[in-house]
Amino acid sequence: MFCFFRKKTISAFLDDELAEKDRRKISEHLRNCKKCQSFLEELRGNNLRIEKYLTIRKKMVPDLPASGPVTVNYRPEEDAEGINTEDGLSGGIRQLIISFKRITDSILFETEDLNGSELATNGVVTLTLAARLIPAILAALAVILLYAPSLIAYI
Amino acid sequence: MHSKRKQSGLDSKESGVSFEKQAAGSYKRLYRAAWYFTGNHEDASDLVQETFAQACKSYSGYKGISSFYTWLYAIFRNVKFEAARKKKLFITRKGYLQEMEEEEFQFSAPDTPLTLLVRSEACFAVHNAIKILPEKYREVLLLRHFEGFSYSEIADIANCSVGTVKSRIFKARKLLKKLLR
Repeated sequence: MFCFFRKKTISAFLDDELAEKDRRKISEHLRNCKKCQSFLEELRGNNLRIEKYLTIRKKMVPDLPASGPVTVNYRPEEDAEGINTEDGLSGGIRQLIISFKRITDSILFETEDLNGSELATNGVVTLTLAARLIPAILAALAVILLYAPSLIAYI
Repeated sequence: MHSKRKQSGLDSKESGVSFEKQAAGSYKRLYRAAWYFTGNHEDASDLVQETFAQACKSYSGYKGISSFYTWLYAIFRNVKFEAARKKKLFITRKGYLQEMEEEEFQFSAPDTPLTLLVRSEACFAVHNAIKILPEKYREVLLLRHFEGFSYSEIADIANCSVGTVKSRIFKARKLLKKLLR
């Protein structure tokens, strides 16, 4: 029997992703074509093996607490400032200033913005940001020192 | 009729649903996906947090045509690629296999049905076969079988046409058929 249907269409049929008209045509064809039936069964068997494996993988994921990693106190307007999604020197400086401010506000004014662990985290974040900025600051200083004598002479 | 054009997916906005509410329903599923790729809680949490942070910033742009999780997963996909690019995560072939061996070790003491399944030859065969697939085929296969997305949702996430998704899934299965013989 000559098969009009491409094998990728049979693959999509298995996923129930064909339009109704195409699905009916393939179903009709499969009733009479042993070659396509065999191909479909082989695909089905492999899909089951994949899904069995992935089901096991899903079961291996540890349970999360009910509130999950996104806490109840999640405040988008604060996180818009607090999350370091900005690249570059200006973004890094901005984040450093925000982290310093949060830490000092918490210590000096005893605001409830930060608890002990958040203070520690912010401290680490601040140090990390500072460490990231040091190469950029050193580079800028080097440029200034290099060109300063020429600038002074020019003036 | 399934259009071959990628759906632009931008029409009416879902009104009155806060980001927090949407996020609360999705974090566990996203965490599971992140854990699959990283194999540990710390990196998975980082990916999830970064995804939610970016999603929150761009939530005003979410028009509500695709499901919230589909939209979120597209962001997660970019975050994952960016993290891998910056070598924050060591997603190498060797690392991936090591992750599986470590999991096996963790379960080596108690002989539960789950650990026996993990250690079975069949499981390792599928694991290795998926690992060998080219990235673009592995991605669509996992989006289909792990996440259960439809072809049009996969097209939205992977930024390609439904026809491309259909073709890649088929090629992934064809390769797996050879590898699993």
